[in-house]
Amino acid sequence: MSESEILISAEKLVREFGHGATMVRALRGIDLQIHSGEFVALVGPSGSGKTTLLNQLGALDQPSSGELTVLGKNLNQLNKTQRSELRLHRIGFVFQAYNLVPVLTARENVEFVLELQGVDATERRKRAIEVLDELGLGKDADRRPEELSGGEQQRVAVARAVASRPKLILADEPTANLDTENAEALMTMMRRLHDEQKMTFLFATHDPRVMRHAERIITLQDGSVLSDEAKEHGAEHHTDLELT
Amino acid sequence: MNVSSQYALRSLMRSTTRTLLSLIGVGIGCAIAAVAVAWIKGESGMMAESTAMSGQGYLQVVPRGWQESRDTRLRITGDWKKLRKTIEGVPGITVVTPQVETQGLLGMGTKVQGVSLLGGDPKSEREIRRTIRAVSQGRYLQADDKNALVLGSELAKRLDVSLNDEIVVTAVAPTGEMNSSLLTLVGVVHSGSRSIDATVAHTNLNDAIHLGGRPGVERFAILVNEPKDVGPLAQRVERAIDDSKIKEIAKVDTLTWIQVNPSLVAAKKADAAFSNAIIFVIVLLVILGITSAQLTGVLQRGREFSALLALGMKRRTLWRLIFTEALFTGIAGAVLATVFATPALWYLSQVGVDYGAISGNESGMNMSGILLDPIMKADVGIWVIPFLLVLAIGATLIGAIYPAIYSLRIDPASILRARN
Ligand SMILES: Nc1ncnc2c1ncn2[C@@H]1O[C@H](COP(=O)(O)OP(=O)(O)OP(=O)(O)O)[C@@H](O)[C@H]1O
Ligand SMILES: [Mg+2]
Repeated sequence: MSESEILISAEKLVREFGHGATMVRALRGIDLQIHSGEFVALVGPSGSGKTTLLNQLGALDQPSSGELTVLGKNLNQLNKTQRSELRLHRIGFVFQAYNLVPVLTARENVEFVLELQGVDATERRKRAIEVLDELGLGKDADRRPEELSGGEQQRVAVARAVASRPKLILADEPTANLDTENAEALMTMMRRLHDEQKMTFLFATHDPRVMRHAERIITLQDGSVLSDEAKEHGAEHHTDLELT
Repeated sequence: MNVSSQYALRSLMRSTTRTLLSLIGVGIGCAIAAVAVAWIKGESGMMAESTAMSGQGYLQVVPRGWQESRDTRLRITGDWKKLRKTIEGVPGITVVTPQVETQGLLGMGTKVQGVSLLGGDPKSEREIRRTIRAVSQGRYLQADDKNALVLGSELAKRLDVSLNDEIVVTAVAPTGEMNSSLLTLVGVVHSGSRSIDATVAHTNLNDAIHLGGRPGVERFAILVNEPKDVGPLAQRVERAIDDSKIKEIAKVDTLTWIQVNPSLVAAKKADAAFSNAIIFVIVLLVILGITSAQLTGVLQRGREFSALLALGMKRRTLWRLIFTEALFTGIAGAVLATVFATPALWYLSQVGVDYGAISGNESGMNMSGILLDPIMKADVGIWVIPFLLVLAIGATLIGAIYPAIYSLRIDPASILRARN
């Protein structure tokens, strides 16, 4: 694993909100490396900084200090447009609340991101259908989010995130709104993408069902890395680590 | 259609009530504006027509110097008959009539009235002067009349004269001597406007010239095919006169009815300013309505937009989305405005509004000697369609500017914190 390409490298990453007496230090010097093809869970109690860290790694926010290189780009040196280009073409996002566009069908939701990337009409349609079929969502292609269950919506959101085959997928509490069956289905799907297409996944979670699938678990506490442990591949055995 | 446009269109259709209200707002606002413009256009066209048809024509050829001095003693001397032929030969000119006005006194028994006696060519004068078409007694002048007189009904009443009476006309010649003639009343005209009927006193051109003691004609009043093109036509007439090199003709100027009546034009400008102010206020209201509707739309979809920005959508694309929605609203609003405006425009252009009936004055309104047609009509043309499109789309696009700027506040980083 250490031989492969480094996708994310953070050094003394600090993110502070506000200033003076009310200042919150959400990240207090994070050192972290994530390699291509990893399947990582980011855990920790509420307020420990998981979302803040994902926002940093996803080029959605800028650090107060420290160095951060994502997919070969030093994020401190990118302007807004360059950061949005990086997100558009090379990072996939999955949100807790799915956040599909409600007026577009599943296929159009996937297609829209491809359209933003400048993929031409026939090609993006083909790819949208392809990726939905691949993820077992072919029957849902022409349905709108409101006609889909939460689990289905989240799988469409994953389809949207992976349609352009990005190397890195970031997900914040992707299973928090799902029941066990749907959470399981989602994790299986992400595992498959990871195994078959070598996509790198990093998800913040409280969910033991998610952690069970992880190959590596990074635990945050008060904005610092408390522990960072690799698990055996497959990780069938249960971790009883419940943090909240 | 690409997904972005589908997105914009369906977002509009999703919030049915808001979109409908916006459309109705744009529709009504732009329809009112179009009707106001058509009305003002109709009014000013009618003003031009009424002015021309009051005997002034759309164009006048006058002695040089008259425009500045308004000196009624100036005359076009020399071979003015040939000059008339020359003007008549210019394409686009339909009627050319020579006119002379002589200040004088009409006397009958013990009654005396001061008048401005108009001398003209009976045939062409009738074509250019709507007020004398209604002859209530006798007849109008004829080409071979000598010492014949036609009076307005009010003037005839004041002088207490009836047909075939001989009336003494006295004028002062340039030499200072009194000139008198006996004119026979051959007809009485009744325009319906008391002040006009109190001023009409017409005789044949030669009689008026003779009475005034000044050779030549005072002016030519001219009707044209295309009243909208009087400017270029005036230049063409001027060129034709220059080219004709008629001997002994004193220098003349060709004026449009606007140059002849600067005060009317000022009134017209004031009207236009008023209608522009109305249109401005309406458009402003439409813009504000759109701004508020679009802003609501942006606020409601803050989460949605934030997620898309997180996925790498550019601000530019978001703006395009907002403006595309505005464009759709504008186009649909223009269609609706056409639907709303059509019955009103149809009615106002075909039937019109009868001011005579409203004011109780049956056949006309008099405005500084010009008899306005009592039925006012809107001027509607194909221009209404582009007008509505530009207005509706312009207003909705401008209305979308603030929501677009506001959308800059949407923070893509906030989306990861959204829970459900
Ligand atoms: N925009 C902000 N302004 C001020 N403080 C913030 C902001 N965003 C996050 N914080 C603070 O930073 C700390 C870390 O928050 P963060 O959301 O990253 O935690 P988390 O681990 O994701 O928690 P949870 O498990 O509840 O999602 C918290 O104390 C939070 O209040
Ligand atoms: Mg969080």
